[in-house]
Amino acid sequence: MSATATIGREYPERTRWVGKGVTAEDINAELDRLHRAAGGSGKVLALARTLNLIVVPCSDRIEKRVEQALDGLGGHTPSRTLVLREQGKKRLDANLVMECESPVAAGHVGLCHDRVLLTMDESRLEHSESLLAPLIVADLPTVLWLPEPGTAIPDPGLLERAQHVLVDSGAGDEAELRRLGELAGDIRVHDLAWGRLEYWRAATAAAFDPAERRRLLPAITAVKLRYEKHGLGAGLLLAGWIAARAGWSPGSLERNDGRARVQAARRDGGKVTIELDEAPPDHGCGGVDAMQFVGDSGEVAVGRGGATSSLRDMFAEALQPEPSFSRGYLPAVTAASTMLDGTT
Amino acid sequence: MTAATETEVLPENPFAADVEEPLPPPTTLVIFGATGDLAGRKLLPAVYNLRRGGLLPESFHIIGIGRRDAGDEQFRAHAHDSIATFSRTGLDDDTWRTLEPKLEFIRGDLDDPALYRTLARRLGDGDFQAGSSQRVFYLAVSPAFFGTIAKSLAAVGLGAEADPPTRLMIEKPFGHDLDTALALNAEVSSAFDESQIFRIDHYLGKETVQNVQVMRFANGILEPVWNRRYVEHVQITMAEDIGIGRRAGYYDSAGAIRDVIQNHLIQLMSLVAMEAPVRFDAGTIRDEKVKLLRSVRRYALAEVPEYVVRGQYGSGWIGGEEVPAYVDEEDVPDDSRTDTYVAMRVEVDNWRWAGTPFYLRCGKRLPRRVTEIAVRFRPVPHLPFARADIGEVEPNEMVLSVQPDEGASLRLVAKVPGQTMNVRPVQMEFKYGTSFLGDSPEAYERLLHDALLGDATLFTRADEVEEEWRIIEPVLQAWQEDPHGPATYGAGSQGPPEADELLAVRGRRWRQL
Repeated sequence: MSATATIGREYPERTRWVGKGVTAEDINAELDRLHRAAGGSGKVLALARTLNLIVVPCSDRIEKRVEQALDGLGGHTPSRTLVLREQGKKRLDANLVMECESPVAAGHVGLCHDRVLLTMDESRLEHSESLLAPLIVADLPTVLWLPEPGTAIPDPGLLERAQHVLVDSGAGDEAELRRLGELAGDIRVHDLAWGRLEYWRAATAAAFDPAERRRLLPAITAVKLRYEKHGLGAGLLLAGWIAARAGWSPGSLERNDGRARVQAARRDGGKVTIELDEAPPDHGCGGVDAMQFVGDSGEVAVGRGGATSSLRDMFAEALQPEPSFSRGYLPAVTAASTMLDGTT
Repeated sequence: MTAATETEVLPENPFAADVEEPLPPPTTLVIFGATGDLAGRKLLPAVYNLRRGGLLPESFHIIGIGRRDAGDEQFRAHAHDSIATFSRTGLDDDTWRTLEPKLEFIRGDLDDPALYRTLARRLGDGDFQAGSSQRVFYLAVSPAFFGTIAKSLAAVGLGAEADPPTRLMIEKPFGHDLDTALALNAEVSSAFDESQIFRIDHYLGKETVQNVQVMRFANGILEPVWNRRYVEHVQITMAEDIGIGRRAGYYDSAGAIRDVIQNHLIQLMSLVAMEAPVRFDAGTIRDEKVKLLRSVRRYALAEVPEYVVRGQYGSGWIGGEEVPAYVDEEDVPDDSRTDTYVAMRVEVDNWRWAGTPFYLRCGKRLPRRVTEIAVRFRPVPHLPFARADIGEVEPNEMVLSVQPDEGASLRLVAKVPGQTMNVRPVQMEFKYGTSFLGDSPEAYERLLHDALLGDATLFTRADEVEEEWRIIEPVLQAWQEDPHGPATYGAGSQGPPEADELLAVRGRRWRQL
């Protein structure tokens, strides 16, 4: 086993340890040592205790993006981040980083968190839950982050270990919604694309608050939705939510000349056409640019109102016991999956 | 659209259940004093951050009103610079672009009726009429104008009877004493209904202040001991290391008792001491707070010196810097008798708290900035250990820290490892930063958003303000008649020694700053 320790910037202070052919016990011992070393210079430091974040699996292709995202979480730090990667060598290698804030003034407490990059062979990856169990901080929520669309979960045990799965359907094509529709039936899925639509859900609800507009709802005949470039998935997710909450049964998505439409049936048998069109470049927020409900006796427009939350805001949201942005997700993604089934 | 009939049953809004933070209805926010300090430092950045967080409706306009000779473009430039400087999230061009065209400016004098006619005309214009379903007037101006503005708005149809509905937001101080507070409430109430008036004590918008109620009412282990049987006394402290800066104009006529005790500290005390509300809504919570305030003992004038100590800082050293005495600060009269420090013993005469005093303490130029609530529990009735072995045992103490290190701690006593029965206090600590992700919104963001939604839970009701003044009133009168001024304490010290005597019974002492 080889070990090195280097001190990084003053803020945050970063201490690193690298080990090859290690065990979980070695890693735990080094994490303890790194924390003691960080607080050794008379500073008051405390370990953040927010969550365990398992990033799985992290390929070369997106390694940098994941690294940047984790750096961006900064002070919103998970207590323990465990990043899994596959390698050809039949052993477990670990790269540990302990990051500590410098206390801003005497009497203040600086926060520390740690990040553990675990590189392992395929068979270990397939049993990674047993490897992670001793490294997970007890009594904290555990979140599984699948940063790459279409990622297969290498060990089904991870789904039992985690209480939440964090994904971003907006990072892939809309077909990802089908897979998430299935996953969301088994475990709480926090789709960052859904989080970015929070404004649109609140704006839709606000638009139908006035009594005279609510009266229109049973007789809506069309919904016109403009989505951002490459944002059809977001458009479908929002359309799925509207259909599910309004009690409409959506049919299959039809695409023609770059336009997409879905025919849905209202409870009273009436038809609703959901039209999805791409917005001009640089329009939109959270994947959507504008929405309009058309009825026999009037129209309701829902316009763009604000920027969307950052990744770290959404991480924070995802950790709420009843995260607001997961509300309504299952019916939305289920309806969107239905639209994608039999797409023409 | 069809008209409603009496028998019509409207469908429920099917989209509302999935929304945690509802959007306010389309709103026009009118800021009086729009180019002033408060608007620049707090309000405009708060609006921007609400917009950035997607918490404002698409139709949201701001009309700034001020005396400065400026137009829309200058006001927008002022808002841009203020947000860039003071927003906790910086300034993002995309968000700014959605806000910028919604900003307008009207120049005028606050006591000129023509200003209000212009405003009413502007609000009545087609584009505002079509979009806005409420108007909110924020008075970021001197309290001397509150009554004038409220009555002038009502005179042009923007008061209690307005359609679309209106709200009035005003900042502390709500009066200078009980009489002026009553007069102000009467004046504002003649133009607006109490349900339309949102009085801001920005302290109530702080996350950690709101957490006091969560700590108390959501943790089963605390409630059984949260009373006179188990609590020996409570200390509530708001200490600042800074002086008065450039606020001499206001501060010298107010002093610490009006600036902090009458509002922030009495509000904190009421949150600590109130009975559990049946529901967490504005009416119920404020009813409970008012009940508590009514049970606070009013002192006779002769009793005041026994229960209240005032001080004024002299020169001294803070953080390695020499700082001047209060009377040597800019624009402070040489013979000023203004209190910059107040310590007050408050007795709550009800079943829960009778005999358990609350000590309130605030001051400027104290050693460090700290706001905290310390609940000191009674000592154990009997120690089974030989006192010679363990010495004095410190009673348990729970500290709710509001700033700067937000959190809570509980002091316990534990055995020191070793052959002998030595004990010493240990701390169980919870720090916000170690357990929660995410930035907390600024108090003004939370309060403005609540006001736009019509939620008055975190705002002070007229009767609350009046009860706060009734507690303070005898102190103000006694000090007015007192030939002695405040005691002097050195800047950077713990405050005047007289304050120590206030606690000097049963071994009580102030927590060290």
